[in-house]
Amino acid sequence: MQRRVAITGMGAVTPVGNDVASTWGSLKAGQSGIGRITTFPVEGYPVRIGGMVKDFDVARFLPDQRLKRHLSRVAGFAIGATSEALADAGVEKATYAPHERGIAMGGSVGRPELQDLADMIHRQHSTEGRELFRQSPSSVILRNQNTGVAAMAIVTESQGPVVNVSTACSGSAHAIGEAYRRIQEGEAKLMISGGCDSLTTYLDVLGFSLLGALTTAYNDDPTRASRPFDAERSGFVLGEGAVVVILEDWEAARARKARIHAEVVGYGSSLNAYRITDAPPDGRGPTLAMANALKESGLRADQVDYVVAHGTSTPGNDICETAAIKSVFGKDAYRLAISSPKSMTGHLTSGAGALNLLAAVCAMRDAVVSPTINLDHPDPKLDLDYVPNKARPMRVRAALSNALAFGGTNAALVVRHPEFEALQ
Amino acid sequence: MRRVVITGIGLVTPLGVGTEETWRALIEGKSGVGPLKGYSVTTLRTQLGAEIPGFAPQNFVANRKVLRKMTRTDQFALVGATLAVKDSGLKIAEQDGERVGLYAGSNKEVSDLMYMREALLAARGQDGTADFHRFGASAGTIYPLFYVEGLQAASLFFISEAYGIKGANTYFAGTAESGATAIGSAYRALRRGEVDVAVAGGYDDAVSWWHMTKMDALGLMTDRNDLGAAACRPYDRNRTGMVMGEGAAFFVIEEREAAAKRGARMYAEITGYGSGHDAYKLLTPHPEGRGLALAMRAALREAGSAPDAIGYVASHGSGTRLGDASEARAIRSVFGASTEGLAASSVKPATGHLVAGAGALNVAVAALALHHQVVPPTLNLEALDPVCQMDWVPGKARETRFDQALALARGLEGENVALAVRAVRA
Repeated sequence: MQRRVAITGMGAVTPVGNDVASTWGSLKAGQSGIGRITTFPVEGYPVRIGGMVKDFDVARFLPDQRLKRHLSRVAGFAIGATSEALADAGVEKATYAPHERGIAMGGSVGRPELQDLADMIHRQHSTEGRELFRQSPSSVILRNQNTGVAAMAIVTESQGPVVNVSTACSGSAHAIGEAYRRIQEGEAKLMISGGCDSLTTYLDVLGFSLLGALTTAYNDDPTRASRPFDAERSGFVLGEGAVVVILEDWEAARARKARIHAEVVGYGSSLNAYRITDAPPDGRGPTLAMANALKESGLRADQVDYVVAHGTSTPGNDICETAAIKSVFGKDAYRLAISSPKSMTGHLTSGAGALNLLAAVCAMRDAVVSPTINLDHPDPKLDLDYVPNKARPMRVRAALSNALAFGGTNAALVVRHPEFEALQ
Repeated sequence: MRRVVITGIGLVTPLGVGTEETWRALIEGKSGVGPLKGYSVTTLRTQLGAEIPGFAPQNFVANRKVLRKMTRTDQFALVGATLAVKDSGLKIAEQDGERVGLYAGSNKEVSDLMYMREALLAARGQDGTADFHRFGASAGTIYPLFYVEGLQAASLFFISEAYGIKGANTYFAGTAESGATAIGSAYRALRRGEVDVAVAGGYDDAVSWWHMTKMDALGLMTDRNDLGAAACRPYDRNRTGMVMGEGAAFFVIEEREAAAKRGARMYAEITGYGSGHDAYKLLTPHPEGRGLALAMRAALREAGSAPDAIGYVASHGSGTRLGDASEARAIRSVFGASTEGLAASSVKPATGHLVAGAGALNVAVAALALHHQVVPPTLNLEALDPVCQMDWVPGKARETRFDQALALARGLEGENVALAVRAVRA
């Protein structure tokens, strides 16, 4: 017997707000959080803009300040979002036994400091390979992405399953899927799940630039740079942040009279096995992930009202995803509201899938769908309803949330309204 | 619920590239640990490791061109998966790729840094200060695909491309627990019916200069370079730390009925998966191994097995003072009176610590031990530490009759995984 899974809490630290209320408020208002990258001196780099988190300090979320020196920027975001999500869920430490609580996060390994890399290579070069530069323990611990997750486990006293997923842009959707499975299977009663990333580093900006994946056309007009599904889209914009949801065993959540935001009813993941850097134009990989998630949900295509698109604003992704939505939803594809929060936040990479899920849940809760901004010039090849530029009040009975990754992995999640039956 | 069996094992270890080669060496008590030869180690505190001598992936992989786009660690993964598929006898490319899953775990961090050599040297000024602007201005010297090569989950792409795998998947980042988690998640997906076949495993290149300079910084490795192959001494009173190794352990798992129908060799049935986190301190295991105890209890519960039904534990035993002691306490707390009569052993003195490959390798050890009814020894265990009191099968392999085993994996930051396996009898 598979257990049902509720979403009872949410937390967010994003380029458009340092909590859920401000993040969702900005998304609804169509407000962009994209500006100049502040994590390294960008002069001379082909890309100088990104969705940056502003004025965030993890200190107030830490019971033990000694942890702080081991936490990277992104681990701090994750701990902030976790604290908010647990408070939102009304979960206290006594609600469940430590082994009934687990964590599943999507993220990336931290990048080495430029100074460290330069010193390493210089040492090897100047000694003709005879000597190696010593890495410092603090830099090793800081880069280790499991440090952040272990810190979450310590702070929240979670002794159940703890997993860390790194499938790039689909990371948090995979992680939430894994968390969902662990509650379905009875392995945990509560999972803290989501994703966090901060790829606005010199290394990632350069790496993505060399692949031509980032837009270079809007360095002086950052809020217009991310334009999913627009004819003038020319690449994605990096963003950073963390989004965390609390997944809970449905019956246990009901028993403690928790407010249930939504029910997770389907998850599917797939591989393109196509090209490592490109999405298949016919959308077949994403089609399989979405179709499997929808099948598991038991919902018909006409019962889903909203698709939170991966919509990266690259020429290829938006074509691939549109094709996939059409294959899965058939004629209902034209009825669906589809929108991409990345138009406002940039691409939170490993955090993107969780941000999309947040947009889906908030849309259901408040009966309003956030827009795709900067959609000024419709692309004739992209003929679905992407909710251009203005939020749309509408009833959302169920929603599908997409995440498609560089490297060819895809993950889709289906959520439905807690009173889905009554809405029929 | 469907039942899940292991039908293919692909091992790439310092003892041999091949499952049989590795297993034979383990049973014969050989060790792959010795002075590192791949690069100059004079500035490292620990100069020992277990390397795969003359690793030649082109001898195993049909599409040799693709190897040039891969890091050494991803090559381990592709070769491991290739060996597992071959070993299973399953024509995986003829299967419906949408019903085949792929789960992997590793600790990959970077691409080959030599691609950035010119730019990094240019970034460093006369006074030694690295400058972002100078680095960016030298971007033209960098191999443009370095970033693709560095992708953490790149192995998922290369394995899926080689075998047309399109189904459920995940890549777990971490240390020993990550490969074991991959196998656990694959087993669950198969049991649930999300896929019919899955390829799963773990891999790592822990003896690369990059990882060695990291591990050297953390101080968890032995400094007894003088001991050579005898330096890694799990559960021994004179243990002084880990020795790293490199390689991969991959599996093909299938639904039991389907495997039986095609006459597949079934090494073992996977019957339980459990995990638990110490949630104690960064990099320090809980003294009682509480996360590990939780993981073992959960795996036993799912398997429906009483502790006294378990004949063998493929243990984590990495040779650290705190790790080994806490593992022994956790095992004793779970097995109670039945600890008496339980055999357990760690293969790390033989293979080195494969880090993200270590948990997956232990699953292979447990399955092969069941299949052959012989358990490999814990090498270098000469003076048992009373704190670690248990039967660790010291020194020599042992033939024994048993039906069920556990495989353990412990991550560096407190993650623990246990998998339960059972012999398949006709």
